[in-house]
Amino acid sequence: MNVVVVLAVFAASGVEFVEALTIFLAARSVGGWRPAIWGTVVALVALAALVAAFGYAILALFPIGIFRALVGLILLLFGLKWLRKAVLRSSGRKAMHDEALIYEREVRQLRQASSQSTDSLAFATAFNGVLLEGIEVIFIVLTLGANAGMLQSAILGAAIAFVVVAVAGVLLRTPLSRVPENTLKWIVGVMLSAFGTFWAGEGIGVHWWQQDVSIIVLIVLFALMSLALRRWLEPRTQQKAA
Amino acid sequence: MRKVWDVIVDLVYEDAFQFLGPIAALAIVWLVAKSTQTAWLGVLLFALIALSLYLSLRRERKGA
Repeated sequence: MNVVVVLAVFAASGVEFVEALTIFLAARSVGGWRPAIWGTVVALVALAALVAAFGYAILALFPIGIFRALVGLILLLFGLKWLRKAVLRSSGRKAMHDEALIYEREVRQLRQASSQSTDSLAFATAFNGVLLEGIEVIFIVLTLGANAGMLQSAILGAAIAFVVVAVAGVLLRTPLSRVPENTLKWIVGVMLSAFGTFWAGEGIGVHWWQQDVSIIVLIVLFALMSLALRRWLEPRTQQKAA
Repeated sequence: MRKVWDVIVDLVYEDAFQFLGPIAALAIVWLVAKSTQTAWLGVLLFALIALSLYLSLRRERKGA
């Protein structure tokens, strides 16, 4: 057992697990536990199948750049859609439009469709996020473990990181449930947009400043941008009253 | 000139723009990244995505 390898893999894969947890919690807040857990489980099964089928060959066979770009783009599109809706709702534009134009029966149908679409959105978001981060963890374990000739130490480091992050996720569950729904959806939009931009950027060859630290910068930028857009969209009378 | 610009912008404001905007932003940055590698590429990507969101919301502001 090599403690340095354990610590190195713990730190590196811990970052990836935190990212996966963030995406999972975002998916859960949109569509509830069921689709988010299903998305995660299917992604884990797919990861296990990939490792079982390819083993070390996965390093050479898997086009991680293209995969990052695709997953990033999907998350970015989901994220921007949610962010746009949240900005419109909080500025008062969305509700005004809906109330004026949609009949009651159509509203009911839309709600049903919306519930189905949020389920598939939550499933797809959790699946994509967990699959991408899982593949990155596999890359970390295989490259660090193989280079040091210490695969067991690398697996142990990743396993400890997984347990620590999973416990943190369970502890975060209660505080998150107290956040108002609209605020939570805005947070989800910001998070998915930031992660999507980061991964898609990495996939197309952007070398981010300080690597994963850029995700935090992107989260702040998307939050500030959406707040500015909300202010800009508010009707003028509302702005004066404020 | 202003009218031509408004017509073009109105066309791309349609809902499809929400999807085409970020894809176009990624395509532009990908093309730039092929010829040059600079730390500002990330800033450019964010700026283009922010621009696409702004453009897709501009109609909502006009319409109300």
